[in-house]
Amino acid sequence: MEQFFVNEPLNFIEEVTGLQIGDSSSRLRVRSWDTRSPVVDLIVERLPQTLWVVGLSYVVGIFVALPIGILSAYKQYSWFDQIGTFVSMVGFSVPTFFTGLVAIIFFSVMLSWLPSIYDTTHEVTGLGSFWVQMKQIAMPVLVLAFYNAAQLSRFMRSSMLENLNLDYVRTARAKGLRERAVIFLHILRNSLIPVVTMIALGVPTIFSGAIITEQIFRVNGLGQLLIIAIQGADIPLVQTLTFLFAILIVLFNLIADLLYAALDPRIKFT
Amino acid sequence: MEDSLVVDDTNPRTLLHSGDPLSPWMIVWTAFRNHKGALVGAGVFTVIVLAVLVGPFVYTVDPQHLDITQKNLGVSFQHPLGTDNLGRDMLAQVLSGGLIALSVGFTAMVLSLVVGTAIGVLAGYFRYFDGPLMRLTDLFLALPLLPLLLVIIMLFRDTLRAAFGPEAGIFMLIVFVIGITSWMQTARIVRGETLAIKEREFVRAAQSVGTPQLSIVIRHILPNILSPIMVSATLGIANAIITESTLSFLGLGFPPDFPTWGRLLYDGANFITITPARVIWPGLAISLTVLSVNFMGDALRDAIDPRVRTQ
Repeated sequence: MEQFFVNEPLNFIEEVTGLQIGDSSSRLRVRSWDTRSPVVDLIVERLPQTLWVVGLSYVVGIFVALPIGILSAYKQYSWFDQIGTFVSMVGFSVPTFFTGLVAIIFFSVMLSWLPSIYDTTHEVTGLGSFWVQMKQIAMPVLVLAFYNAAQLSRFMRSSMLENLNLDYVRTARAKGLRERAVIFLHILRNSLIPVVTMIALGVPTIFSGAIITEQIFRVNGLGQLLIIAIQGADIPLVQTLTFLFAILIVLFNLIADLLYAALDPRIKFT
Repeated sequence: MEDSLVVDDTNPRTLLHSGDPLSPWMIVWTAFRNHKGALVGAGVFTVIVLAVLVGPFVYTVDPQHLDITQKNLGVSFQHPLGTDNLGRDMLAQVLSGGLIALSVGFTAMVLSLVVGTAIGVLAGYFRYFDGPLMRLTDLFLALPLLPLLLVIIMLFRDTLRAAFGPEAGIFMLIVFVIGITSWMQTARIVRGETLAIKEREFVRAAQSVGTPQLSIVIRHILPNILSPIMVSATLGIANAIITESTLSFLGLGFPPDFPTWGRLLYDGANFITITPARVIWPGLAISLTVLSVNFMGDALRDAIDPRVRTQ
């Protein structure tokens, strides 16, 4: 217990910041059975890729999903809504390993525009290498963003729909507010409350990595690390990773709860 | 009669005033029938199920038959979907893989439904269990499912294989694992419905004449919460199929000599430049099945939920 709650976090902080805290040389370290190196080193090494790819896809997904959700709820049953709900249904139902593979077949094999393997050793030094980085990050990010956006836009749409016909909306219209003000200041603010907490709840999945997407595009992030550890029966590594995910999940559940109370004045902690 | 039903659905207020004595199931059915996506979904799903059940009898090619001289073929009359790198026929493999995928999906759905309904009814009907059971549900909801599933499979795969043989062992493990990690939504919905039904007069009446608790639950409560359970059943099948194919895709599900759609995708992914068809067909099968089931579930939920219906 002490190992996971005290020693490993300290190791982790030291590894990231380069600081020395206390007697760090005699502190115990969990070692991977497979590579013989401290587990913390492995995690720190792989964290940036996961954060970039999965985090970016989450952000892209949010920015795509919110406008779609808002518009398709506002114009319910219009052609935009019909297409939007259909596409989000497809994105929600088709597993990412299939969209990922189809994207590889299409963009890498047939058109050979984008590389199908994510090259971690690639360093961004100038505009040219930045373009290469953009190209290799494009497919994993878009595939994941499609899935995230599909889920979020469905949620956003239903949350907007619940608010659209409430009394306060009629009041706002009745006192002569412009339609834009009604939508953005009144309806949107209220319907974002559950969506924001939903987004907060999803943050741990950024860290635990999209295991499947990382596997397809060979991104060596945390998700892939977990898969390798499981396949190689590397118990200390699996333990550390699952413990890390557990901490993050508890943390973000707490944050989501607090956010809910902060955003919604009707909810008070007693 | 036929016309009035259609009109009723587009504007439910006329339904209230028209005075037609429609049964609730009739209303649900009309709403379901007017949902185009649901009809298409039901049709596609029926076709897939029929193909998987009847297909192997019509198309009698052994999916495990190796023929190295016929490897990596494209579409031909002899092999309608081509062959893989060992010369096995893809159509036969997709059909037999579908049977496993669908039966895993169905069995896991039944298991999660039984667990979810039992926990939901217990929590809703008996106040005493409410707190602990719902906290248990919250606990399960907070778990990250995929890593958990992977770890469970890593821990128990070999023991079960040794005990029940490679095929039955892995089938049981996957069904069990999916079942016990997907019951939470059902439990929550069932609890909510049970709480509402429990206070109704007919349940009070049954209690006052001394009906035993068990038969109140079975005779009075369960029939009244059947519709939300059916919705979670449909969505549960889709979820179970996705989870199974994900596990197989990561190489932790069914073994390669016993392939499901996910496993076929996993094996095909390495030959993506030579035979992209090996990825397309199983993937398309998974996607179409899940999509059609989800459409049906969505329509069913809209049809049952009076709030959505009146919008």
